[in-house]
Amino acid sequence: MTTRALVLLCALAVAGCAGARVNVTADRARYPLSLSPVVRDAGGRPYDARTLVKVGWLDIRETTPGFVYSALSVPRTRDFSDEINAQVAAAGGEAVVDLTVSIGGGCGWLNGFPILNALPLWPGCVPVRLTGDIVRRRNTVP
Amino acid sequence: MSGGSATLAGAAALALAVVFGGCLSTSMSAAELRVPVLLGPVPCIGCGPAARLPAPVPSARIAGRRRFYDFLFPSYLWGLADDSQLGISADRLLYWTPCGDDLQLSNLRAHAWQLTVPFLIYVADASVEGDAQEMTVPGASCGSP
Repeated sequence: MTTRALVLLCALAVAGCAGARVNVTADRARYPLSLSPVVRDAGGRPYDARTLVKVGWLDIRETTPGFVYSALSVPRTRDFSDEINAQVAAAGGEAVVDLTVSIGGGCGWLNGFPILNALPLWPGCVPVRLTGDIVRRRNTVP
Repeated sequence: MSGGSATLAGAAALALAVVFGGCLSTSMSAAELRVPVLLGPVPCIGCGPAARLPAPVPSARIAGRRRFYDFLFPSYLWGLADDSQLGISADRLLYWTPCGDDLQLSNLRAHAWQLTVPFLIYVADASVEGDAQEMTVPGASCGSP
């Protein structure tokens, strides 16, 4: 019984938590970014898969580290604008549709590392991935 | 089960929990909506950054979240494992948005963390959350050109 209590106390003493949080922005994007399959033109007309043609695939991955049990992340905000602008321009696109913001599992081993993640300086991380279809209107010529 | 084999089983369970927790992932999309769900300042093709009037409805909090629990004590075996989708997806919450409006996302944030109490509890969580605001689009039409 005493041994069990000791084991319990030891386990609680080395309990830990690690991770990271990050704000995802695209404040300097020069193209419309839509999480749905629809985007409008300047006249307010909606375009979808029937009237858009896919010209490329957006794929950006950024991993943000965090410390002090995920309370402190560096940087606090990730702006994906530059990479989005570069990939859309390279593909000759006018917009991004079906944008998906996802978190992968790449940091699991670090965030869940037993015992060491009890230390406030033990790093965690959050791997953010943005994917989507780079499109342009079907009836326009690049 | 002897003490040695129980400890070994506990260690193996913990290692597997770390491995499976490491596979935890989640995402946010709005693939079933039929209005633009915008991130960033540009509201339409050929437009510059522009401000639009918010529609007179409150903003909605949307989320994609996945959480994994593994309770190892007292059996030193798998105990209970749960893998569930929490939060409200944009597709479900905002499905009835009028086709003449857009949705503007703001305050988008991603968070991943794991809690480990060796040989007792293991929790992994990944979430993407944000606020969605309905925006009025002047002169918007509903059908494709």
